Amino acid sequence: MTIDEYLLRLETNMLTGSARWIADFTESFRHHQAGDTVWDMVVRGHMRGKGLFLSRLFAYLSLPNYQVACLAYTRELGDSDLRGLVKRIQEYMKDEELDWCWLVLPKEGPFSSRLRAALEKIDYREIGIALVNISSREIVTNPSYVGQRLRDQVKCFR
Amino acid sequence: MKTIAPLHIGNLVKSFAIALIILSLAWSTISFLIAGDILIIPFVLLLNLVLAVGLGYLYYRWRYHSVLAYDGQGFQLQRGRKLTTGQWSDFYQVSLAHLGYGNLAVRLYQVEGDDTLDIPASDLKLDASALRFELMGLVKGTPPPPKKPKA
Repeated sequence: MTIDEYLLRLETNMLTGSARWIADFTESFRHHQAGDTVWDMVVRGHMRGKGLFLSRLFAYLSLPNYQVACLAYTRELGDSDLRGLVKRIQEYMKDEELDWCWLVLPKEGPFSSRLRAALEKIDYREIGIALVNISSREIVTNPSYVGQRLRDQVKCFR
Repeated sequence: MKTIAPLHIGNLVKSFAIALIILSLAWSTISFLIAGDILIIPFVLLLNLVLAVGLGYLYYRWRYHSVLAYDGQGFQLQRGRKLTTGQWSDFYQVSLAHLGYGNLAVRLYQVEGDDTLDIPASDLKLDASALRFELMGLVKGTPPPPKKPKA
């Protein structure tokens, strides 16, 4: 599987697949420029589902209307680039008034141990990051709750 | 111009069901007002079915039938009775939008104003993702509008 194929599957999973149990992802942009960063994919959504009468009422009364996004970045990352990327996510979240955000970093091959160690240290509760090795189907996420919830959504290898 | 105009069976069945429900309700009301009871007559049921097929098809053409014709310069989109024409240079951004119930559309962002235009890829029986990439190539080069300062 190539990175492009993986991104297509991830996009489908976000818009019409199991990720909809977490948030109502409604729109996907490719090669989206935000500031000086070009994200390979940005999927935007919110947490208050629509539904018909009762489900709409239930969603309105019980669910927070958090604005959310899932970003994907496929360029090669150096060991120290992750912090900078997180900073750019925080700026993007501030600009777009997002409440939480996922970042998926897919790669055809293993990630360096330094990058994995750097990921372990990122514990912003509103940011979830996943390193996805497409070749071995290995997934590493950051320890935040949002990050742990991302693990199941990026397993779209088939 | 490349033209895509498939018959969408799902929307056709929906239109037929709407017509049949309205005709059945109309017959029930009329027979109740005249005879004081809802009369079930096989001939009328058959007539309702035949009429529902005709009316459903007309409603489908009026409300749902989608036709997309496009080339490298612009496009013509007909959705039911509504016809939209445009040039690719009028748009600067393309996205893939989920309209609900698994229906996908390709969303175009206009340079002038904050308007968007949805091309209903699922209704046109097109691969929404492939159409999105094709249209991204066509609108490429149109500069985005200047950013408005935040209030």
